Amino acid sequence: MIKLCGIILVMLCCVGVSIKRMNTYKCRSKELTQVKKLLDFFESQIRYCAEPTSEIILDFVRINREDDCPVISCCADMVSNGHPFPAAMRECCDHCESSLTGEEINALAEFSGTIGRSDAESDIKCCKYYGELFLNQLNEAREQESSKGRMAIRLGLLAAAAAFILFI
Amino acid sequence: MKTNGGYLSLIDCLKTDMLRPLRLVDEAIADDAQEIRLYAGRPVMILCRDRAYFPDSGGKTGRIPPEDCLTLSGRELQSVFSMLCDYSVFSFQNEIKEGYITLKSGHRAGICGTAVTENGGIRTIREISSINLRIAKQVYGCADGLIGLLRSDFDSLILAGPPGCGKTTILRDAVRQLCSGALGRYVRTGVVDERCEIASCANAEPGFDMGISCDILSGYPKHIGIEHAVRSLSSEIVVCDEICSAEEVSAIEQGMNSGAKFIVTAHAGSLRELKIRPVVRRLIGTGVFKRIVLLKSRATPGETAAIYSVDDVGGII
Repeated sequence: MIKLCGIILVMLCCVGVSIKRMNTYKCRSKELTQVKKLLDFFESQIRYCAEPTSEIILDFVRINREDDCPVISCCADMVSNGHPFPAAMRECCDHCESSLTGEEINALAEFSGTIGRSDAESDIKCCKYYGELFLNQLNEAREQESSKGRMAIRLGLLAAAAAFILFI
Repeated sequence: MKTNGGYLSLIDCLKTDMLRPLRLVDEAIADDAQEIRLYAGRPVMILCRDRAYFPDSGGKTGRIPPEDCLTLSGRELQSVFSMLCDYSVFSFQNEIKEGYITLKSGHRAGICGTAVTENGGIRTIREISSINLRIAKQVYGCADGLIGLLRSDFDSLILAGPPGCGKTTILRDAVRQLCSGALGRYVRTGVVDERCEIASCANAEPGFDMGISCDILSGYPKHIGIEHAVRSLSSEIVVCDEICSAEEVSAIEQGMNSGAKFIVTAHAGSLRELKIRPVVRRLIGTGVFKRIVLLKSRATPGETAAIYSVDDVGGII
C-alpha cells in the first residue's frame, strides 16, 4: 500500500512539475500578449484621442477584462488611486510577481519613464519601438511554449512512467 | 455671493510634495488668491487682488520673501510642469504651443520657458522658467447685472475688462443663469470653450455648474465652434471667451446672419483701449453688438465700471 502511494506520489510530482513548467511558458505568452495589446492601445489613443497616459491605462483595463498581466492590473489599480502612471508602473514592475523576464520587466519600466515626455509624434514612435520589441519577445515566447512547453509535458509523463516501471 | 472651487481645488491638482506648504496657507489669503506664480530659482508667490504673499516652507506667508521661503529649482519646476501635464505632454501639445495648460477644475497654467520653433511657429516650450497658475472660481450671482440687461433686451453684448477682472467668471455665471431659466425659459446656449476654461469639462461633464440647456464645445477653435453652435446645435445665444482674431470676428458675423445672439469677452481696460483695439473695432463694426459692459480693475473683480451703448462708442470710435 505504501509502495503504491509512493508510486502515485512520485508520478504526480513528475507530472506536476512538467505542468508547472508548461504553465510558466503559457503565462509569459499571455502576459506578453497583454503588454503588446497595451502598447498598441497606447499608440492608437495617443494618435486619435491624445488621452493622458493615466486615462489610457485605466481605459485599457476597463476594455480588456482578462486579468492576464498582474503588472498592468496593479499599475491600473495604483493609477486609479491617484498615483502618476510612470511611478505606478515602475513600482509594479519592481514588486509584482510576473512571468515576464527581467529584461522584459526593465523594458516595460523604461517605456513608462519615456512615454508622455514629448509630443504625440515622438510618443507614437516610442510605442512602435517598444511594440516591436515586445512582439519579438512574444514570438519567442510562443515558440518556447510550443516547443519547450510540450517537451516539458512529455518529459514529465516519461519520468512518471519511468518511476512507475522502477517501482514495479 | 456663494463661491465654488478656487484655491483649494487648484491645490488638489498639484499632486506633489514640493508644493505641500501651499496647503497650509492662511484661509483668508487662500480665499482672496487669484494666482500662484512659480519661478525657477525664485520664491513662490501668491497673488491676491492688490498684493502679493510669499509662503515659507511651513505655509506661513509674508509680504516680503521670508528667509526660508518656498522656492523651486529649475528641475523641480520641470517636474511640476510634467505633473500638470498628467505626465502626458502630448495631450497638451497644442495648448503648450499657445503657452498654457488647462487643468482639471478649469484652472489655467500659463507657461514660460524657451521656445522651440519650427516653420516660424512654436513647436513646444522647453526649460520651463515660470508657471502662472490662475485660479478659476465659480461665483454664484456675479452675473446678475448682465442677466438684468439681457432680461430687458435680449441682444448681443461685449464684456470687456483688463486681465484678472473676472470676465470669465461672470461669463460662466451668465451661462449658468441663462441655462437655468433665469429669463423665464431655458435659453439654448452654445459655449465655445476653446481653452476649456469656462466649463472645464472632464469625462464629458462640466466641472462647474453650467445649468441645463447648455451645449459645451470644448477645445474647438472659436471660429469652428461658433459655426457648429449656430448650424448644428441651433443655439439662441453663443458665448465665447477672449475674441482676438479676425477669423473669429468673421465667424460671429456669419452667426449673426443665422439669427444667433452673442456674448463675448475682450481685453480692454478702458474706453480708450476699446477704441484702439482693432479686434474690438471690428467687433463693433459688424453691427452684431448693441452694448459693451466694461468691468473694473483686478482689485475689484466682477464689478462693472460702465455700460456703453455701441451706438455711443461707435460714434466715438
